[in-house]
Parts: sequence; structure tokens; C-alpha cells
Amino acid sequence: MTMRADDEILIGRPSDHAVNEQLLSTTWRPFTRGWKILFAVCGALTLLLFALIALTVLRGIGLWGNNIPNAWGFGIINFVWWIGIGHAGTFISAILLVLEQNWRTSINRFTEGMTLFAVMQAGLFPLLHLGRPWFAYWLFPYPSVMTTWPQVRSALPWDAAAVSTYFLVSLMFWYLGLVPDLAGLRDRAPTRRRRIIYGIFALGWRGSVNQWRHHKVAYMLLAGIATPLVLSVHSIVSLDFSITGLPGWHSTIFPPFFVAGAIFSGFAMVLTLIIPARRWFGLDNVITLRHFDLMAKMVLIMSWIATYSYISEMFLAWYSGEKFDMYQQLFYRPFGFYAWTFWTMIFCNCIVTQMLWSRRIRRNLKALWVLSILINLGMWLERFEIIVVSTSRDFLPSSWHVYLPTWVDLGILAGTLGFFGLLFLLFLRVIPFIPVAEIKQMRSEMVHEEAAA
Amino acid sequence: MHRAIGGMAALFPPWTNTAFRLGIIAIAGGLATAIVVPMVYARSPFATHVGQPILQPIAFDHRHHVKDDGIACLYCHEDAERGPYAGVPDTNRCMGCHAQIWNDSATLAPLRASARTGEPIHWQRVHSLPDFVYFDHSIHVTRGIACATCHGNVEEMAAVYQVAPLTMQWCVDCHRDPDAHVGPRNPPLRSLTHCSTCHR
Amino acid sequence: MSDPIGLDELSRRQFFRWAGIGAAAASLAACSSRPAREILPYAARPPELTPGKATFYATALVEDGLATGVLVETHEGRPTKIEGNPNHPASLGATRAIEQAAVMSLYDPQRMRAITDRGAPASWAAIERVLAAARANGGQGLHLVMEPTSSPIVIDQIASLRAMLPAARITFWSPFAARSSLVGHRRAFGRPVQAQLSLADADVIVALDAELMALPLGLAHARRIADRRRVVDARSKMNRLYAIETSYTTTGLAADHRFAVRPSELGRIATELLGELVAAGKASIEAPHANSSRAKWLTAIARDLVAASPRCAVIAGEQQPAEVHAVVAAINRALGSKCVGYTAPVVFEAGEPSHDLAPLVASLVRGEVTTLVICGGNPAYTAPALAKEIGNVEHAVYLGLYANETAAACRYRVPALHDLERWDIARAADGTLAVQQPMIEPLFGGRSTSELLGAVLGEPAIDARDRVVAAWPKLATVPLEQALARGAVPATAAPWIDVDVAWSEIAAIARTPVAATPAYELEIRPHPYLHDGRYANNPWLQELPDPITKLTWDNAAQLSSPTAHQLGVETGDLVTVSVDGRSLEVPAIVVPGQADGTITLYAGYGRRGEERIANGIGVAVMHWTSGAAVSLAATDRKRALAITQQHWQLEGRDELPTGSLAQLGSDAIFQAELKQQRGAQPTLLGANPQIGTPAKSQWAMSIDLTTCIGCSACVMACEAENNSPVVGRKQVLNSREMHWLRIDRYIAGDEIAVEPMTCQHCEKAPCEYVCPVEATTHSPDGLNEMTYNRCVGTRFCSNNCPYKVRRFNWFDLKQHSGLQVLGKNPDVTVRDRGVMEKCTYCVQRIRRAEIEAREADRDLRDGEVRTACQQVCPTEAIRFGSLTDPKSAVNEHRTRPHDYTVLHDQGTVPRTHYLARIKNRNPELG
Repeated sequence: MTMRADDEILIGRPSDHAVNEQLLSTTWRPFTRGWKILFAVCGALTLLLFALIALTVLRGIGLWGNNIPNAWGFGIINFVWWIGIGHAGTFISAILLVLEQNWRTSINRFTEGMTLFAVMQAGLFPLLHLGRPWFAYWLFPYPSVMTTWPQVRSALPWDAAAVSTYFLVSLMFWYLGLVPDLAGLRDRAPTRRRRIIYGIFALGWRGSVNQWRHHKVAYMLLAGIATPLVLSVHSIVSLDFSITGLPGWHSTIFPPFFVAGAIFSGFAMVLTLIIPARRWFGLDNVITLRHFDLMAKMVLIMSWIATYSYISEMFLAWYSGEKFDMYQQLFYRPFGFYAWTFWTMIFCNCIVTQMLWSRRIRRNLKALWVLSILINLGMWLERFEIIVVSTSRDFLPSSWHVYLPTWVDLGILAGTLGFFGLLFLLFLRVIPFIPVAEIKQMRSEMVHEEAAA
Repeated sequence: MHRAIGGMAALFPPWTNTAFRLGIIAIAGGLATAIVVPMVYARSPFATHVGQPILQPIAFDHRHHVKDDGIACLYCHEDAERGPYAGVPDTNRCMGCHAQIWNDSATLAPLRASARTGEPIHWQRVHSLPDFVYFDHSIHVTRGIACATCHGNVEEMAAVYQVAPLTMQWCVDCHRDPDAHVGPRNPPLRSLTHCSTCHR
Repeated sequence: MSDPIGLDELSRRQFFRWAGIGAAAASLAACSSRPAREILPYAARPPELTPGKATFYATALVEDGLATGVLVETHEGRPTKIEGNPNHPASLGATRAIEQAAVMSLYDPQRMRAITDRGAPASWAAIERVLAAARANGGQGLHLVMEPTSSPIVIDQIASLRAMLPAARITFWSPFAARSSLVGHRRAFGRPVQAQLSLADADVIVALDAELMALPLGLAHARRIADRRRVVDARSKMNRLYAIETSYTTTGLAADHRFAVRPSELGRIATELLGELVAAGKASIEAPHANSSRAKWLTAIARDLVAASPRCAVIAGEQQPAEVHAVVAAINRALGSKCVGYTAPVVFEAGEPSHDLAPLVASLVRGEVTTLVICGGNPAYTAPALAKEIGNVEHAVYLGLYANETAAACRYRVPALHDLERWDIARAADGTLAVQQPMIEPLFGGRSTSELLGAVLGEPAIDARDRVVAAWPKLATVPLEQALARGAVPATAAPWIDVDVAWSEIAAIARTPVAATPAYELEIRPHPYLHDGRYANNPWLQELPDPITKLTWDNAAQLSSPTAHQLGVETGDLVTVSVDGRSLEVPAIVVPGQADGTITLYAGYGRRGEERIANGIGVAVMHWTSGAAVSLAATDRKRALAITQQHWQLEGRDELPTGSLAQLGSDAIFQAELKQQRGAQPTLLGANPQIGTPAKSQWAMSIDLTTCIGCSACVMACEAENNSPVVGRKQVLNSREMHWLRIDRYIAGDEIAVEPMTCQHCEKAPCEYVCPVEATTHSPDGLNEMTYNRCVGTRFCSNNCPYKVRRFNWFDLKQHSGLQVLGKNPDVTVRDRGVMEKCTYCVQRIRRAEIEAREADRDLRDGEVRTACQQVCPTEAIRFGSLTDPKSAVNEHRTRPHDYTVLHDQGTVPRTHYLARIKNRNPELG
């Protein structure tokens, strides 16, 4: 069967050599001016981030806006937001691989990169938000001279374990997929220095049938391991809230709600990043409109799951008749001090996304890009709703107090964005962010199918 | 493919394989030691200070006072059965005897100076617990825990040193099952292991 | 005592260097051996002292000449905590917040440290020379300003001074000391007698602008009133307390009926009340009837009084003019009240002309004063009329604790002794004798009033203790040692005397026409904690939330919401307050229950001395007086107010049930509400696998909200006992205050109700299972333990605490050095940066008592362990004990019908219970 060109996931059937030239060369093409400016900006923000981290560790998190009752603020919001973003990457590269969705091929490494860097940002916060970060290792079980162990009933030790596992698995998965292309670079990079460096990381890959067989098995295995992580990690993160009795946190819907939200924001971030990347590196033939169409559909689905969760939270608050929950869900969030954040969230996560019913919008990159930005914002605000708005008004009015971020909070948020961007820009330049070997393979498979047809 | 191999051979002479394997081992080993070494250190005398004799401003010899003269611990460390600190006797307590005997020995010059000026003698601490630990001597002593249980055979020490690591583990081991460590008592010893037993 | 200046300065400047060196040393030492640490035993140890164990000494703290007996906890000679003295009539074992904070002011590094002459260091001899010169020609031009005193020693010195220097003049001054009451009584009885209250058998009490905590013997009155309000069940008999006042006070909180009236009305109300009694045939003079607006309640009160007489009392506050006190005295006589008696004034010459400032001001203006000796107080601030004149005196000597406004105006400054540093004798407001003994060597040298007077008299220097010994035989038969041990001498109270009302005078007052009431009226009150500003440099008191407004670190104009509405202002808006030409800008604070058309401002702020903490907080209003007509204007500027509780409403949450005695008996709905609020009862941990076998004691607390008057002494006691840090205004603004115990106040019905809130020690504590490192755990005796040194600071526990009673060290809040370190409680860990903390039920006291009991092979007795908040409570509203003891006081509370728990529906099973706030309503007033 034949498809319309814009339904292809690979346009044209380029030769191995052409693919190499197009995709490997991204690593040795001269730096463009736009890239340099972006790099400078991200670099500056990264410096700001580390300066503020140092300041926080030296003076204490009193520099943040947190208070009693709002014991958690931007720190945990950013953590949940970044870790969520990571999930789309693993979802695309692992779950879609297991489900044999071959459209994932062209974008999986890109998204895995995003996952890795997002998890790095997320990983900063559990450490940073501690009152005494230098004792963070107490969250891990080890035989100490105090004969003390972590508290297994608390979500946080599991959280620490989950996040670090997630990071390691993502890293290995990403690296394993990378090996053949590193070998490719080793053999084609212009200068000897580059070839040696790439060569070291290529781990002596020869592309022999034997290596390919092992590679496939290992890759599948890791995909198998990563798949449950997509669900478990953010479920555990959600337990940081749902195991408490706090109105707005005390909810059994959180695990699926959080996972969906994570994938939601993750896909949004993929779009935010890949649309400009595609343009700059002229990859219209490997990342086609069909890819965007499919991703947009995923976004739409996730948007609906999120919407459902919002509604069910409010419904259950009313249905339970629990006065504290009703106040939180039905009065304070929609009409209280932070009402504007609530309605912005609803607009971004539930309303604008409905545009994606239209095929035209799904394939209109400008529209998609703007949309993706709005969703990122909306999902950040969702965490703000959960964390800040819930704590600022809980049971006894005597302890109610608002939370307002300080310049340090804002600086750290901006800093992580910069750091993320910095890592991503480097990624785009030193590694082929489209899996060359897999593209070739996909191409040859398609050619064979067509020949057969 | 062939060209690739050739290219690689040119890049990496055979010895690099060995170097590479060694590198991997080094990294793995490094990680392991980074975890194990601190755990070993925390239990070593470097951290616990066990068995390190401390020099004092006056060369006070417990062997002589306890073994030869048969002076009981509580004669000088009287607070051990009254209050939280065993404490070091005040100058007067020493002068009680040393006004009469050895009252011209050069060794005791600092003691006499203290008695004269009222300035305390700067003894060096041997056993020290963190400030957030509220250990109470009197309750242990009145429950019949022998001094030696924690302080060892001080009467054998020229200069006193720590025999017990004084780690929380060491405290808790005994608190979990006192009878096993100090033998049964009447009224029976309680096993107190909740936090506020020591931390307030 | 090592040179504290050196110590203090050095450590402040060099702390970080030392810390650095210390760390380096430690790390080096760790390689080979241990960091060096020393033990310094006494050369000759005091026999009564066991290192590590507290010793208590009895002494007295004096305010405006009146003593409050206290027991001072000292560790190795360092005072660390103040407790009330049960033997002393002005304490009965309790104290106010002010006494609790005395330790903080003792160690205040900003106290005056050296004698100076125009700022240059000077010697005591120099001062003696100045005073010697002043003795020339009979003390002509010599003028002394002293604080009111009851010290027999000082009184003797004054007598001999007057004999020796007839031309010298002495004025006693303290802005809020008893003055108008005595003047009023002079009018009513022909002699300035002092009212004494015995409220134990008062069935009906009417408080006219009388704040309990501000009255002489206020603590005792609070206790006596509370003793008659301990509701066991609906059949209990309660006294009935009416409060008639302008702004809400602790009396208003305690009252069964409260009426908000303008300051100008109060005088009229007194006469009208008298009028009602006349109508009831209790007296026979011309007195007006109640005007229509208040006739209903005033007649009801009058009937209640008459019915209760003679077991009734009418009390007027010291802020009221002499006339009101005269009328009130007449009312009490008319009712034949046996709860109000009269004695000769305890304070020396109280009510006499020597307590009037005007003559001094006059002679200052005339330049007749060549030598001015000011013994204590701060007249330059508290008496603005005096302020500008003092500077013109050639030889002005100031004896005081701080380099304050007065010190700035005087040429010679002499550091005074703190109450905890000196020997003296003082009387309680009922005349009972108490001895002041020093707890510690004077930290900064310092001189007592007697020493300065001695210098004026040219006496040879006498040891302070010898003065007491010498004076003692004339005063009491009890040996001095016994008096020191008890802290008070029994049977030395002044005898009540008979007085006859001069009805003509009263009639004259009653006839005086009503003055026209201005649009807005001003009320000036002494600050509940800072008093007249003398305690303004005490950070504990500055940060202690006001009982009603919960404002800290600031002075705000209290307005009712209708008044605020008229002006178009809300809390935090700056308003311009002007009284006869002089105007100030103050932030407004809207307070329910404030009389409409009035604003209330506290004295004690706007200090301009050298004290770094007091200086510049709030505005000074001492040049204004209550009742003045004031004009208010809104501005468009704002000032953030550091208020620790911003919400007044309960938002429909039934966590503070209140009702009347009648409702408790018959109102099925109220009974049902209480039953439901009681929630699940303690399991005594029987079935809790996490904890293992339950201990013999199961600790629990119960707080009686009927007797709690929100005075906040408990909050201060907790802070003092548990080394809680002060955070300052900026942090309070962000809700980061560190008080383990807070007093919630809400609008409940038509009144304000309070509910002390602290860790409830839930048996199923939400905080415990969420802590990733088990830093907060449950003990076998039912304590919710907080192990600071295990805490990593995730703050998860606080998020999951429904009561939000946990506090977090956002910064490094502990003092590393400086004098205040000496005042820390060595039995409580000083918390580090980044750890969570909270109420521990004073676990250090529990463990200490357990150890002592076990060493004596006995069980703990009920009441043997008392928490700091329980011990200090003036009304004994807090009970603490073990639930396993069936006869324990705390168990008895739980058998009462109005026992309830907060947030019972959260399944936390709190160990802290409450007794609902029950009112004894007058049926006539509903």
C-alpha cells in the first residue's frame, strides 16, 4: 500500500552515504551564530543556578519563600515538573519500541537526551530542598554506626531510589543505542582528535552480526526494564503527596494522574525542542509531519486524562462531603488568592489543547510550538496548585499563610531551564541526535516492504 | 565495513584494549571503595578515638591511686552517683591528701598553684559525647552498672584512654538487651531504646 | 566573673575565625587523635551544687515598687529560667510573660556597662563628688526622681535624706503606677487608701476597663476568678464576670459578658451604675439613671450585683480618672462588698503630692534644679514634659539598666543592677514582705538605688547584703534565712482598714454634666508585655504575639471594622492620627470588639535610646492621654504588619465549641456537638506494633478553655524553657516564628475565643510515618519525639501535621556566642540550621523526674512532672499527667462533659484534650 507523502515517517529513501552525510555531519558543521547566542544565554543561566545553589547551601533554604505552612515550594514544584518531562522520552523510546511503533525511531534519541537532562535538573531538588543536604545519604539504607535505617513507610526514600534508578537506566539505554553511531563518527569524523574521542566511547564497535545480535537483545532488555519505570517513578513521586492527609494531596487518583501528567508535559517539551531543531538542521525528511501528527494525538489524549483527573478531584471533594476538601477544591483553588493560577492551568491543560482535534493544527508547526509552550506552563502550574495552594490553607485557619517565591526561587527555576538548555545544545552538537543506524535499518526495511508490495 | 576496521586499527594499537579494561576496573573499584572506606573509617579508632592515651597537665596515675592506694572511683568522681556528669574532682579534693603527702613534689606544682589561685586545672577530656546526647551517670551507677563496663580497667592505665567506641551502636546494643551485657539486676533493667532516652 | 565585655566583643567579632580554626583542628586531629576538649573542675566547689543539676533560689522581681515572688532556676550559677513562687501572694506559682523574659534582659549585651561622664569613662568617686557637692546648703537645688518603691531600706534612706537635706526634693514617677485610684479614694474616703481584692468569694465581678494582668496582684486575681470557673458539669456554680472596656483585653477574653464602650463613656457608666443601685435602695444620693442605649445591660448588671451582694466586686482600671475610682469605691461600699477592702498604700507615699510630676517640671523650667538624680525608670521617654528640661540641668545623674533616652539627656550615667543581681527588700501589692537576693555576680558592675542614695547621703559604702541584714529585725520576726528560703514572709500583709464614704463628694461627681463625646476618641494602654517601654529591648517580648491582635514587633492603631470602614482603611494601611496639632502616622489594625469611634494605641514603642532592639520600632504616644479627641485620616501608604495569625474566622470549622452553662445542661445540639468533637479516645498504645510494650506512664495534657485568658505567659515560658530562637520581624512576616506553643484566637459567636495550640502528641501521628529517616517517632510513654540530630529537614512532617505546630530552622538561628548563651537551658538541645522542631511535652523534665524517681525506687507521683506552660499558667488552665493513673488530674478533666479534641475526625487520636469554653451567661442578657 502507498501513503500520501505527508503521511510518511521517512520521506524519500536516502542512501546510507546520504544518511551519514545528513545526520552525522551535524557534529562537525560550523557553529551558527544563533547557536552561539543561545549557548551564551544558557551558559549564563547555568552559572546563576550554581551560584544560587551555593548561596542556598551556605545560608539555608530560608532564602526561599517557603514557610510554615508552606513547607514545600518551588523546590518540589520544579522537581516534579522536570521529572515529569523526562517521562515522555522513556515512553517514546521504551514503550513505543516494545509496542513496535516504528515512527519512534527518528525521534527516540532526541527524546532520550531530553529525559536525561530533565532528570538531571529534577535530581538537584530533592537534595537541595533538604534542611541539611550534607546528610542526604541517610535516605539510603546502609549499615551505620547509629544502627538507624530509613523509614520504609515514607515515600521519600523510595523517591530517592526511584529517581536514581531512573537516571541510571535512562543513561544506559541512551548510551547503548548510541554506540553504533559513535562508531560511525569514529570512522567519519574529520579530525583525528575527534575520531579518538568518539572511538573511546564507541567501545570498539565493529558492527559485526554478532555485535548487532547482542546489541538488539540488550537494547530490548533495557527497554523492558525502562517500561515499568515510566509508570513506577512518577507513581512514587505522586505518593510524596497522596500518602498524607492534606486536603488536595490525600487522593488515590494521584499515581495514574501523575503519570499521565508527566507524559503530557513530556510530549509538550519534545515538541518545544524538536520543532526548532528540525528547522535548523533541515530534517524535514526524517522528522515528518506524520511524527507531529502522532505526537499531537498523544498530547490530546493526555490532556483529556488530566482534565478527567481535575474533574474527579473536585467531584470527589463534593461527593465525600469532607469540609476541608470541599473548601480546598471547590472554593479556595478556583476562587481563592491563587485563583488566577488555577484558571491559567485549566486554560493551558484542558482548553487550548482541544484545538488538536483539527488535523490542520496538528500539522501546523507554529501552532503546535506555541501550544507546547502553553502546556509546559500549564503543567508547571498544576504542580503549583497541588503543592502550594493545598498547603497554604489546610485545616486550622490560624495557621493559614500565603506563599510567595523569592528572587532566589525564581533564579533557580530560570537556572535549571538554562542548564537544561545548555546540556541540550551540547547534545545537539556532539552526538548525532537522530539515530543514524536505526534510520538506515528502517529505510532498508521499508525498501524491502515496498519491493514485496 | 572493511575501511572502518582499518581506520580503527590505525586509531587504536592493541595495548589500548588492556588499558581500556583496566580503566573500567578502576572506575568500578573506585566506586566501591568510595562507599566502603567511610564505613570502615567510622568504626576505626581514628574516628572513635579508642585506645588513645591522653596526656594530662598533671601526670595523674590511676594505677597508683586505685590499685596501690585502693581509692574507690566514687571517692573522687562522687557526682557519678548524684548527677549526670561523673566530673573531675575539685582541687580541694586532691589537696585533701596532697596537703599532707607529696606536698612538695614538683609534679603536683600545678595542683598547689590551683589551690592557691583558685584557677581550675585544665584537665583534658577523655570521654566526650556529642552535645545532643544526654547521658546520665547517676541512673546507670545506681542501677548497678560498674564503672569498668564503659570505662574499662582504669586502674591499669597510666594515662587514661577510651576503651569503648561510644558510638550510638555501642550504646544501643546494651540498651536493647541490658541483661546480656551487664547481667540481670533486681529490680530488672529496662530496655530503653526510644529516641528521647538520650536525645532531648 | 571573667570580663564579659571582652568575652562578648571578642566572640562576636572572631566567631567565624574560631569556627574555621576549630574545623581545621578537628579535621587534622581526626587523622591522628581527637579534637582537644577540656574539663575545668572547680578549685573549691560550692557544697550545694551538683554539676548538671539545676538549683532553685527564691527572689522577687519588682515593677513600679511592687514585688512578684519568683523561683530562679540556675545551672552552675547561671540563671536560666524563672518560675513563679507558690509561697508568694503576687505569684501563687505563676508569672506573667514579663517575668519569664527577665532572664533575657539579665543577659542583654546592650545593658549599660560603665560609669560615664559626658560619654567618657568616669569613676564612682567622680559621681560621689558630684553628689557631695549637691549636699551643700541643705541640698538646695538637689532633686531626685525615683521609681515608686516599697523597699523599707530605700524608705529609711529617704527619711534620713529629708532630715539631712531639707531643701532637697524627691519625686516618684512611673507612668502607669497606681496614682489616680489613690487620688480617687482620697476623694471618696478622705484618705489615699489602696483597694485590695479578695475575689475568691466574689459571685459577680464587674471590671471597668480593668485588665487583670495589669492590676496589682493581677496574677492572684486571675487565679481567684478562675478557681470559681472550673466547670465540672452543668450543675457547677460559676462566678459571673462582666467586662466593660474600650479595647479587648485578657479580662474581656475571660468575661461572660463584654461591652465595648468609649473611654469618655466609662465615667458616666460608673455613675449610672451607682444610680441603678440607688434605685435599688442600696444608697441614697442623686445619681443619674442609665441612658437608654445601655439601660438594658446596665440595669441587668446592677440587678445581678445587688442580688449577689455582698459577694460581689466592681473593679476600675488604673487608666481611669480619679472620679471613676471614687464612684467605684462608693459602689462597692453601697453594695457592702466584702470582696473589696482597703489598706494603707503599700507603695511609699502613693497618692501623695510627691508622686506628682508637675512641681518638678515647674522648678526645672525655672532652672532651680542644679543636680538632678534619676534612679531608674526612663522619664525622658515616659514623661515628655520632662524630656526637654533634663538636658538643661548641669549635673544630671542617671542610674539605669540601659543607655536610653534619659541616659542620653543626662551628663553622668551609672549602670544599674538587674533584679537578679541585687539584694533588696520589696513588698507585694498586699504588703507581704519578700527579699531579693542576687542569682549571679553583677555582669557589668552596676549600682543599686540604695548605693546611689547612700552616696547622696555621703554614707560610707555598705555591703548590700548587710543593709538587708540590718533592716531585717525591724521588719519581721521570721529569721532572714527562712524568708530567703520561702521567698515571702507570711502574715506581713497590710491589714484592711475601715473607711467611710464621703457621699457629698460622690454626689458632686455624679452631678458633673456629661462632656460632649468627640467623633473619634483615643485610648492609650500600657503594652501588655513592654509595659511603658522598659522591656522594649527584650526580643522575646517584642516577638510575643499580642493576646488579641497577634501583632509582633510593631505598634498599630486598633480600630473596629465599622470605624475602619468609615475611614476607608483596612489592616496595614497607614493612617494619620492627630491630637491637638501633633500628628503621627500609624498602621491601622482592625480588631473585632473594639468600641466604634475609638482607636487604641500602646505605650512602650517608638523608643529612641541606644538600645538596638527597642530603637525605632513603632511610634511613641506617651505625650497623649486616653480620652483625648483624635482626628483620623487615611493615607495611601501601607506598612506590612508582622501578625502571627491573620484569620479571625473559623470558616465553619467546629474546632472551637463554645457555649453557656445552661446550654451544657439542656441544649441537646451543643451536647451532641461536644460528644462528636470528642473523637476517638486514647488506646494507650496497647495495639501499636511500632512502639512495643507501652510504658508505665502515658503522658497527656488537658487545657481548660473556660479559664484560659490568653495572657500568653505559657508561650513565653515555653520559649524560655526550650531555647526557642527569636527570628525578627521580617521572618515573622513570612510566618516563620519559632514558638512551639501558639494561642489561636477566633471569633466565636459575638466574642473572641482563644485556644492554645501546640503539638497534640497524636497516638496516630501523621508526622511520624512520613519522615524518611525516622527523626520523629513515638515513645512507649506516648510522646511524639523529635530527634533534632537525626533530622535532615525534608519538612514532610510539617506538611502532614493537621495542626501545623511544627517549626523549622530556616536559617542558623542559634547564638554561637555572646551573653545570651549563658541563659540557655542546658537540658535542651539548641537546634541547628535545617532541622524541624516542636513541642516535646517538656520531655527533659519528664526524663529528669523519671530518673530521680527510679533512683529512689519509687513511682512517679501525679503532678510531679509539670510542663513549662502548665507551671507558669496564672489560672491553672493546663493539666498534665499520666492517663494510666486513674486518679490523675488530667484523667479527671477527661470525665467532664465538655472535654473535646481538635480535628478528631482526622484519626490522629491526640493526647492533648481541651475543655470547651463555657460561659456563665446572665439570663436577662441571654
